[in-house]
Amino acid sequence: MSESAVPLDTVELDPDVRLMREIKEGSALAFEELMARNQAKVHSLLAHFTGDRQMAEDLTQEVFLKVYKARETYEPSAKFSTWLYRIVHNLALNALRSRKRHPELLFGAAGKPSAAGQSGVFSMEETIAAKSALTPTRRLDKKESQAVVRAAIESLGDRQREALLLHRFEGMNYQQIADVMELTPQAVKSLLCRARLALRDILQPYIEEGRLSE
Amino acid sequence: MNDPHDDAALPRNDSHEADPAPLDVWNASPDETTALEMNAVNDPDDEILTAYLDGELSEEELSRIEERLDRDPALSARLDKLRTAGKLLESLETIPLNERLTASTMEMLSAFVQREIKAERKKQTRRHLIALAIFAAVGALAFLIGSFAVGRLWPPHRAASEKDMPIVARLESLEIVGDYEFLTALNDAKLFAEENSARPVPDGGSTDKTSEKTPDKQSKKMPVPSALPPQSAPVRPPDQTEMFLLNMRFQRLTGAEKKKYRKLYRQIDLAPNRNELLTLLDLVGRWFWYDLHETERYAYWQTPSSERLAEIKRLRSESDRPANSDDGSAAPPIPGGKRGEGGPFAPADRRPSGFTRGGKESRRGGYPPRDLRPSLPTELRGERLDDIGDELFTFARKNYKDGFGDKKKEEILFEFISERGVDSFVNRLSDAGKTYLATMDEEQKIRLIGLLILVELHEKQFRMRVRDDDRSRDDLSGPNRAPNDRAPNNRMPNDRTPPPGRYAGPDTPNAGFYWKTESTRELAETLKKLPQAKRDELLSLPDEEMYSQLLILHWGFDPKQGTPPAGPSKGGDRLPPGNRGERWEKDVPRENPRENPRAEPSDQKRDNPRNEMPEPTDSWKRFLDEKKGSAQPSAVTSAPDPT
Repeated sequence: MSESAVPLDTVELDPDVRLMREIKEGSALAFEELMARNQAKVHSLLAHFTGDRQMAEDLTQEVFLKVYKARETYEPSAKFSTWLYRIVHNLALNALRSRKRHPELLFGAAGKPSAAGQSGVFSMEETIAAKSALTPTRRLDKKESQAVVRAAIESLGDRQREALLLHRFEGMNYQQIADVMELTPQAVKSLLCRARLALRDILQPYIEEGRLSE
Repeated sequence: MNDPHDDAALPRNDSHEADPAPLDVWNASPDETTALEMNAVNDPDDEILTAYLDGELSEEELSRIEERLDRDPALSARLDKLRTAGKLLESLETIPLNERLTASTMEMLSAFVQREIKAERKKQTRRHLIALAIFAAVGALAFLIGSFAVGRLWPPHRAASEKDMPIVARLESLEIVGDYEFLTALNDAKLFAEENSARPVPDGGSTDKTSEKTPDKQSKKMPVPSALPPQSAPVRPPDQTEMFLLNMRFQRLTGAEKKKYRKLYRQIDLAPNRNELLTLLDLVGRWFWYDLHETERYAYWQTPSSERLAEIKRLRSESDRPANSDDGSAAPPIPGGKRGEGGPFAPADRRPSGFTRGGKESRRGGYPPRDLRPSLPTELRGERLDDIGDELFTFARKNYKDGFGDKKKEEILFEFISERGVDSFVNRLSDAGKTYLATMDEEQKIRLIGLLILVELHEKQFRMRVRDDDRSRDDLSGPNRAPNDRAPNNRMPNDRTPPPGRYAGPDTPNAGFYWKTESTRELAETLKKLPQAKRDELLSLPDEEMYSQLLILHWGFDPKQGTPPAGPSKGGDRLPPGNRGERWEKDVPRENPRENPRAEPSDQKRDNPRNEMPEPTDSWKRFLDEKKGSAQPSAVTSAPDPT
């Protein structure tokens, strides 16, 4: 019951870290709360990353199950989000690798629709609409613009896409992204640079023609 | 470093090679893009511009690039293109979550946990069998070893876990508030704004989002959220004895109650205005336990949850009401509830009327007394028992003409009701009051009539004083009589007789005269004032028994003995509601923790027997023996001689 202040890193003040401590003690309530705090972000990131909503849901569940299974080994030596997104990173890449081994199940890779299109984040109609947006006839509306941007992101390499999404959705800095993806900050910087350049190259024609709305 | 996944880590690849021909992003295969992205080399300017847009440049780099951008329009144009493309990322929407996802994940997790529990049970069974085998093999020594081993398997009973310590420390406040919505409503109502303004932060907790982005830049140390508020907090944190008792109260909660308070505390802990809410919690607890009359606390517990905020508003507005005085001017505050000189009717004196106030400066002094009538059930608020003070005075004169001695005031009051029969008081009520009480049993009627009498006495500022050592100055003053201002130790009676109500303990039925109105601090005072031997004996008991015995010593009443016998009885046999051993008069002023909860408890004055807890009275012992139905003396008689 010491009442004196003890210096501590800001990590200890992370609510998710405190929740993880309680989860280690066996609190289901804390786990439910942790999920409520993080699930939506994880799901959204996975959906954009994989381009497949169903896969994103499955992976989201897997992520949190892994969080629970690994609770005993969790140490608050880093931010919780770093630890969490490392799990996301590994599960997502494994899932993509597995998907690539079965190309007939692919959808949306490099913008190519397939028979499995119905389970994707982006319906066949959206992708066709994105493709049709190549014809310079009119300014794209918001939905079409989103589809073009999504398609552009999907066309990026897995790592570029992941780095970009971690930066965009989670607001992570280079160091944090490096921790998640097990790279150096310089490598992350390079990845993001190439991702932005690629996006620029894909989207610049639309921008120059005034067809894309920001 | 954590490696929670069993998947092979992907290799690091920092090598760079020249970038080949531009990629046909719509038609390239995934493998091609992966290989290319890992091996490409970027234009240094592009990397710097990207880092500039991402806010990842050092100050020196920042100033250099900005300088260049000012000088180089081409570079600036490249930046604009990158920026525009990047801005389009902002249009990426959050993909909505399937509502069933959380539920299905929890279901999967439950199945997983069930499997874990089964596996753990099997392991424990194996461990138990091994322990038994050891016991059998090495006899007494094995039993000691095995006991130790077995003991390690079970969690400790008495101590709360570290994570529960903040909840234990604030348990009394959490019980008052109940749920997070109520606390936030209370915060929004700003009923404690005055005390809460310009208060030091309870602890240094902060959930500043900016620290999440760049933790390496947040080099300043933040104080750890401790289990207890620091010394600078508005309320003195519980000391060790109080924490011990609070912990026991916590352990006595049901699982659902513990879960409720844990959830509540967690919600507060995660709230953006965490510090504000914690301070409010402490202030509410302090106000409730030390500023409210016991009757008001009792009334609060009876109030439906939906009306409690209004009840607090009412009580707060009552305390803010300036007191009247003889000359009509507002009464100055009375610091620390210290007993003043002279009598309450003296113009120079602004003593609080009827009861002492603790903690903050009392804002009331003199009279009229605080309105306690709303503490009565609605059906009885309009009832009067005229001349009740005179009747009580007559009763006391007749039965205690030689002084009250060690008789407790509450015993006298209930002897008074018993002698006349509770129905004699009920018959004096209006038809509505009679109808209300007609549905109740004897015990409930006694409780409510007792409460009504107390309110009446309070309103009439009934005073009764007795001095044991100076019979010539005995003064059983009747109602509205001015006291003898010159009498030394002219002390106003403590009319804080706890009205009966419910007992919050999990194993005690909602009956009897006991109910939870003592604060842990008061219980701790009782514990500290026990003789060392008695204290050691008490602490050696199992938790449940120890707590029960402490309550007996505190209130002079064993709640587990149930209700007193129904029907009128001769005075002395009816078990009165407990009190803290307060007397109408003491020759040695005793600091009341209610008056100054900030004060550390005084050391036990062993040389002053009045500071020891009194022996139970004969009437109580007889009652307990009757209830037990045996000739053996009650458990309380085994209490050691307090001297």
